[in-house]
Amino acid sequence: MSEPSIVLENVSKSFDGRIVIDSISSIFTKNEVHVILGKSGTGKSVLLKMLIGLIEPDSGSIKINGQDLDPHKTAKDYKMSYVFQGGALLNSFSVLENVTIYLDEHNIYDKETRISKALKILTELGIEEAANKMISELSGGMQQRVAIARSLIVEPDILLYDEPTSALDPINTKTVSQIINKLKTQRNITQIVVTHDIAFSYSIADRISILDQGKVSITGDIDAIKSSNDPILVSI
Amino acid sequence: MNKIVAIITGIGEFLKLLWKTIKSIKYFGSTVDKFLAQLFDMCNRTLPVAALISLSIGAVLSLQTGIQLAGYGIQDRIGGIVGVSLCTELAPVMAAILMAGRVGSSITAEISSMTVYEEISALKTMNIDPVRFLVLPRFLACLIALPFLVIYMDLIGWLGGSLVSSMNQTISVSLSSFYNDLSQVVTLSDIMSGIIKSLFFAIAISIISCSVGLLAKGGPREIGNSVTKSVVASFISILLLDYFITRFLILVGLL
Repeated sequence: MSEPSIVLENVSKSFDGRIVIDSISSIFTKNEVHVILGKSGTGKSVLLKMLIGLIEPDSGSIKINGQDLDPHKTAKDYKMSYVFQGGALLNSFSVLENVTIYLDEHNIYDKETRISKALKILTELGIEEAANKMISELSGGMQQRVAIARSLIVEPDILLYDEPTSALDPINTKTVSQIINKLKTQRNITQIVVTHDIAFSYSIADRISILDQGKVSITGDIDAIKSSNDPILVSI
Repeated sequence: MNKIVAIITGIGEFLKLLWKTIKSIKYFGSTVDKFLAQLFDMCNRTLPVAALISLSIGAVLSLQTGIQLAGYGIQDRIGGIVGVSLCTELAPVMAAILMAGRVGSSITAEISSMTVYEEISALKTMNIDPVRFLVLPRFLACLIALPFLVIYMDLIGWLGGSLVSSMNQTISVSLSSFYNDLSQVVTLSDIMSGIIKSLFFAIAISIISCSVGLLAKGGPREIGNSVTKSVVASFISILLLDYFITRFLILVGLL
């Protein structure tokens, strides 16, 4: 069996007395693309934010590469990166500035190296011509690719995506799935993708977990999920 | 009851952010470019309106007071009255209100938009401290810009007052008489008291604007609500601080 990258044990989270994540135990294996599939409001994004440390769980434990998730440590310490729903790019910055912001703010490498690294990633994602454009000049699909580029500059071991295709048309959705598949074959990254799009999840996933009412109802590979008669999957 | 809790929570958040900002001053070196950009933006937003407001206030103050003084034949004292009123009270308060309205509202709109659209969360995941990245440059720029704005408004207000005094037939005080009286009455401590007030106003405006922005929750509608909240809280703070700082300055003999 492959080595676990993230292990959740009885993780729970409530907001104002409403249980959003209900005692979830799950294992995310290294270098796999693990899709968390579920309807809106089932706690998918909350689960992802707990993994990166933006939200603290009420109970349970999260282990990353065998170590307990320490709230005093940051995503950088765990070599994790996060692609936000809608990109969450800084609108007053250019594409290049958005991608290099992590290196700039932590003073990593000299300026030329930062720019060449950013341009290399932008080329890899097919958006090098947009490097000097402002974020507002880009389409939704390009913004999503810039968001992925910004996450990749951190050189993460674990990359988390929160609904990366929610605002995209089918062509851009296909581009994002191609990028995720390319990263799977070319880089050793554990990718965890939260989505409500079944077709998209089938195009990228090694394993899929179905989340409903804060609980994981099924986990398995695509064949196992396709052959499942779980009513939740049918409703999605 | 809920409102009282909200006010106490707001004050707590203000103090917490102020403390974090003061602690992050040691990183000023890495935010110089952002500080200069903010300073330029603040001056750009406030200077033309500040000129108009102070010219008008100086002129109206001179007109109303000058006519009253002329009734007693002591209109030659107008320079001192306009001078002191402007530099101890009107210029710092009007500059602060202008700063809260023009700059504070834009800071809150920008930061609350960044919060609502998860840009702040994105910064956190990259281990970029939002206080150092966003609050510190705005705090320091406001701390520098507001005292300069007060001096600028003092000078333009005096100019407005002197022009009206010399041109109005009833008052008819020459420019030289106006400035002669002003220079005899207005002391350095009067000017300093206005600057001291403006420093406290700058702290209140910048921290309230950033704090409300960072605490924004919900969707895009919250951006508008945050701006309203921030401007109202800044105005109330300016008025309360003005009273207590004035009392303190009188107590220490600066006024």
